[in-house]
Amino acid sequence: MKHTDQRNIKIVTELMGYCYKHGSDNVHIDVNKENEKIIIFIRAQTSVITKKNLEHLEKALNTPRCHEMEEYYWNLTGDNDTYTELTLVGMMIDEAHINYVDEEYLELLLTRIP
Amino acid sequence: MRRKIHSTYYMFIYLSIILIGLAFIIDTPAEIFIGFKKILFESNILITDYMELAGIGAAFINMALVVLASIFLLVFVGIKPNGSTVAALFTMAGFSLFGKNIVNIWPIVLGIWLYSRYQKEKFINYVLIALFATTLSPTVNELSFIGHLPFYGNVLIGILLSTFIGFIFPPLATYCLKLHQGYNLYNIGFAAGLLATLLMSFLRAFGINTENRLLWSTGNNLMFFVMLFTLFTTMIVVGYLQNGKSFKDLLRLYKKPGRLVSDFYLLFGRGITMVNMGILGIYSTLFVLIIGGDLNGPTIGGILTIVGFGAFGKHLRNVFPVMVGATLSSLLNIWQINSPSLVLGILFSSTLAPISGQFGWFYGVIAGFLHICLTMNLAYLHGGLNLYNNGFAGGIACIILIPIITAFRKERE
Repeated sequence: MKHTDQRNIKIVTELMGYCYKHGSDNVHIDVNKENEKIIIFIRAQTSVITKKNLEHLEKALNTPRCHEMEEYYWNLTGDNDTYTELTLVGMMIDEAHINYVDEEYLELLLTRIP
Repeated sequence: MRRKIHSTYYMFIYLSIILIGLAFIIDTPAEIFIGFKKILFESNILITDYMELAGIGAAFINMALVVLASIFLLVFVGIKPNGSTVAALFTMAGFSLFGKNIVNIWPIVLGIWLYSRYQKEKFINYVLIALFATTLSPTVNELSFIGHLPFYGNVLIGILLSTFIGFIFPPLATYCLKLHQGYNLYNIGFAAGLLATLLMSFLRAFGINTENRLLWSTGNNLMFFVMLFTLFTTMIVVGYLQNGKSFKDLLRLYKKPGRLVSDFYLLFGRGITMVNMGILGIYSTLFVLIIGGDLNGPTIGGILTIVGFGAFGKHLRNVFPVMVGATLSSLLNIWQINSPSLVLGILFSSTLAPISGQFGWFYGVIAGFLHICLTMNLAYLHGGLNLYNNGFAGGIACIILIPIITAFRKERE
């Protein structure tokens, strides 16, 4: 697979954009490569996330993995400030866990096997 | 890899069998055979209506074979159905009525398969690009059979060049997404337009040119209206039943801007997606008839493409403003609104539906208006080799419009 690092960067950019759009001024990002896995952890301070937002986020990030969609469309992630490509991010990752701690910290833990 | 014929693919297989049956009801086997030979060995550049060139029966047989071949490819690589595969299958079906045939699609597919081998990756990752990239299939016929090349071996050169085009196509298709940011749904049309412009410029530099072509059948509006109306109504009914006998989520689907990647099939399920597709089909069929257009190979191709993208970005709410803008442009400009290029331009202007979905109906109307002006000027550049000429125009419209719209429109907080 080509441009693997670039794809990871774009996923992070997309999720960072999502956090900014949802009122966060404080975003922490951890990206770890473990063997073949890439683990992305994002913790954003925001108190405006609604139940509906969470449901949407959960559904989009758990879109079935689609390698063929990733190969064609990965360039679209993290490229737009008026629209999110969370479904595409869902297609590019293998697992997503979402937590909204104390209704103040949004935590996203994503696992991706390129 | 798990090969399975999913139920969605079975629907396409049943449709193909019905098409084969209809072909033999409409035309005799001898007529179909003679017509089919013409489809395979004559020029396929824009606009070649197979129904005019070869008859309705032969066109239907070709359509069925192209759809079955596409399903074979998808099943062979083990891809599950989603919005993009549904869009690809309908696009293949539509364009197999004017430009793609069961023979000329393979060199491009072979080129992309070779690219996947070169990159040491599975072909499943490129199969969608391979299906859409067959927009450049007329190149095979044009170089192989039309006698442009001044020496023997035309067929070999045509096949090798088309395979080479397929080989270099995937990176170009991926890169082009960045240019229009997903607002042009027919992205491959844009990429293919650029590549075909380069190819045509090269050929013209060496004295090889394509001739203007317009084969356009008329007089079958009633028959095709009945066929299309039956198909789309069936889709709505089946979708309604599969969606728990309801239209639940249709309004939620209409709220999506439709920008790439909006996979309605995965987001909302097959049922309501089929309802959306059926509604779009009836709407676009009526649109063609209201503006005085003909239902024939190219326009049915346009309608089927819209229907296919009803699973992947298009819905009534984002398509309507763009098509109104395109119609307005057609009424005011120097060309006849029901002329072939304009009818196709209006139908395929829906490639810009995400602009109205994202920025509102006003920008959608402007995009549709300008799209028509662009599309009438661009076909010359690629000499009709790129069947998705409107995807090419849509891409250029986006490159110009998106930065301007995002710079000047007031952001809603």
